[in-house]
Amino acid sequence: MHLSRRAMLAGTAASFTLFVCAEDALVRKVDAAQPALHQLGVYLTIGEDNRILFTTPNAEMGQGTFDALARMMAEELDASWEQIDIALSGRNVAMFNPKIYGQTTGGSLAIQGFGPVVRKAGAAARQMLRQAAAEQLGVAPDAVTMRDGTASANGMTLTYGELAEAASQLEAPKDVALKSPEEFRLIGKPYMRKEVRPKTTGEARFSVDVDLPNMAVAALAMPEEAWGKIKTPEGLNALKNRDDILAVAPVTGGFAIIAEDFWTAKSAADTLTVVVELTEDEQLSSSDIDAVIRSAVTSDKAEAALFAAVNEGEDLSASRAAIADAFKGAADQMEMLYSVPVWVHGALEPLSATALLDGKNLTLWAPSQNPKATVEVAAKAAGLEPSAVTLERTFIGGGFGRKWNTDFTLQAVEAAIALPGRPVKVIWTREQDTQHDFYRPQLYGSLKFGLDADGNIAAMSNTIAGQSIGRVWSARYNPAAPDYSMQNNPAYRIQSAHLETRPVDLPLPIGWWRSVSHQPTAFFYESALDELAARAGKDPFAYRLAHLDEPRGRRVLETLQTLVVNEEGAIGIAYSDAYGGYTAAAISVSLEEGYLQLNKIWAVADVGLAIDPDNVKAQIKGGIYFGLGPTLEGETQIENAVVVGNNLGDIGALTPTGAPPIDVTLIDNPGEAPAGVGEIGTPLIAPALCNAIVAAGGPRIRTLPVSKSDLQVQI
Amino acid sequence: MKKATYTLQINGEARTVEAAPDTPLLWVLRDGAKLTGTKYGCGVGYCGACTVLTDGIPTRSCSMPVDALDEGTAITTIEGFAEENPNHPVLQAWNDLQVPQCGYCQSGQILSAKAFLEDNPEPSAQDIKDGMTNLCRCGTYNEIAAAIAHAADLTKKSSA
Repeated sequence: MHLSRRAMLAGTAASFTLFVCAEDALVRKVDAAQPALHQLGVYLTIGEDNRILFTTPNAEMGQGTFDALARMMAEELDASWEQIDIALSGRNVAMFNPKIYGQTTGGSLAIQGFGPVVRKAGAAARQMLRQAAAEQLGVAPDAVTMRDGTASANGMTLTYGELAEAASQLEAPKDVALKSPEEFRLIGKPYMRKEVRPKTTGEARFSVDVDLPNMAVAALAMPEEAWGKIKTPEGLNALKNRDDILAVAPVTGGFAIIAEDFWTAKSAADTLTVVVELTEDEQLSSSDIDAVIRSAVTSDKAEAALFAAVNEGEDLSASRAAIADAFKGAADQMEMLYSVPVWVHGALEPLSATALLDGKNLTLWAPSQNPKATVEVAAKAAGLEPSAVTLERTFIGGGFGRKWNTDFTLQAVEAAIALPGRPVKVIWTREQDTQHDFYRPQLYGSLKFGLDADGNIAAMSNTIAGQSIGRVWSARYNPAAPDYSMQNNPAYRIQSAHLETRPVDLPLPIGWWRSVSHQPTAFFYESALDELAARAGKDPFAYRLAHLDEPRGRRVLETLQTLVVNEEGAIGIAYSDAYGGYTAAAISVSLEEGYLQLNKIWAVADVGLAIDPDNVKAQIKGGIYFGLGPTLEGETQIENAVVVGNNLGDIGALTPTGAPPIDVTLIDNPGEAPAGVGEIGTPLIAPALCNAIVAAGGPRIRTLPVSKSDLQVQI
Repeated sequence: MKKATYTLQINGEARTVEAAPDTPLLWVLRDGAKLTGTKYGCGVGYCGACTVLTDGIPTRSCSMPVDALDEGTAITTIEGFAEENPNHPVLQAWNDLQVPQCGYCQSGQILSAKAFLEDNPEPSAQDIKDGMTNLCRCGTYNEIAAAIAHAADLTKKSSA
């Protein structure tokens, strides 16, 4: 069977390009203007061929929501899984995730936010189809049985395809009842994710794979520096005269060199040396950045904000005074200074986007986590209204937060403006992707604990300093509100607590990185808890449980304990309650002659209703590995604005050799709302590993990565 | 660099492409032959996303200049492999275990696994760990190792 390539339908608003994973064809050519297709709400199109197209609101970057959201919709629709096709949406204001206030993919909020929305969409369509069936079969709606894409009554059966036209004429119901877990036939059941097969045959289309008639390809000339004012390089004009160069365009962040193919463009771009001007304040290296943040966390004079008021109405100075009083009454005290370094995203697919400026219309093909901003930035650059911009999204070859930004899509638009009428695909090199990241910022945490006579926590303060992602990027940032990009609430019951953030401004570009502030917060707290348990002479499990009220969290920790209690070797543990889930992990390590060997990892999670349990487990494993590599060896060195070490071997990217086996146990709890699962694994691994190192007789590591210590590590 | 004409044996077909001699095979495949299943990841032969088979041997195509290929070298990309062997034990195992997450590295993983199993049809867990060097940023390493073991079982059963 011939697999058709990506079908292209340019032109009218009614036409669209789809990535559809059907049983027999990866990409189906579908024209929305075709009369055989009927739209039922924002998300659903049912064809008279009985195929059901679900247009997913979210980006798919490996987290599996492409499939999971379709499954949630299909469950309520009572469709058969085999008849469902899935398409990636572009920008659609009607697709609104109430948890993230829009269409953005991030914050592990797809299932939590869009999940109920698409379930309701499925239930509403089912009700419309039932109504249409009742009319055609001459029975009351209640007498119609809906199952596997069919409606039956009195021995007669109609398919959804046959009912679609009539159903699409009906008004959508406002209120619909959703199924309870015991009625599920798709949710929670093991079956194939629809994007798996095309991802094993080379047919799945990512952004770098976009191929359009008459397309040109651009490589970039960018400076090595991550910031600074870019100067026009020598030799730029000479490139314009070359026969094999179609155009040269200044773009934001560098220069696009456009040719018929990538290697020609890159070879030409490589002849240029782009330099920047740095002001005196911008001439910063890692040691300078470290000193600024360290000074902020230790100086009372630094800019500061209360992270969360423990007592109502408390401001920063009242909270500081209250905690100082609480410490006075403590039997014992312990202070610690922790830090996490700058980390790189390193998605395997380098940044890439394609744009076509055709008269007054702009089309953008991009792996975007953030359709609204992507379209708005593109429209502004092209001098168009956002309505004149069409976004076609591709599969994302790893996002981890990086493809939330619009820098690379803007460059594609700027390049396309230089070559109107032709699509221009911009591809970054790996080196550029590493040197022009929006980095996970370095953070310091200054923690102080007041302990009672039993060694339990009576009072605690945690002050975190560093660059604030929220302050730089969040349109909803409010300096008076808790800055969740810098800190998160402790998972434990603490009588008196003071939580403070101290944002600093530095020129290093920063951005969202898988699990954001949960990673540093968990590293600080969960390491500190082991330090406190050791001081109190208590077991790490018992010490945590003594401070933990949440029953779901207690069950997770207790389950983990039963899994590792008889394990030999040095075990370290950590607990986290991020993204609506409750997770704990343990790692077994050996330490011989300073060489750290990782033996095995166990994780236990209560994620509530698991839409696809196998994928939940895979996400937790992936999240743990994503955190493990940089925990071991991720140290982003910056020398005078240049990120030194610019390839995947330099960023703490975990290799198969460094990846110990992981065993994930899910607590069955389908009555609770589903948690987000893409990020919950990542915060656990740094503290579990560092606690295990101490259990093995190694040093207490308060500054990541582990490779900065005397230990030998292998990733 | 001035372009030259090369005739390559790609997935059993002779394909003629124009490319500068230093063009990596990766970009000849992607931009010249329009076979985009082979991915660009690092450009330095480190991550393995660009792995293709040359005369059956896993080759990091980002670091193989087209001019360095011996004439008549049989190049197999993921498209050719999957079309020729849609039920190959490695593909079946990858689907049975639903290995991919983002999927970007998987073409390279699958071709590397195929070649690995031909050299070592009954690998131990340690053999798999030592033998597979392709990076996966999503962290599908557990699933990849399990899929290779599963593919070895499938092969054994089908030949028994």
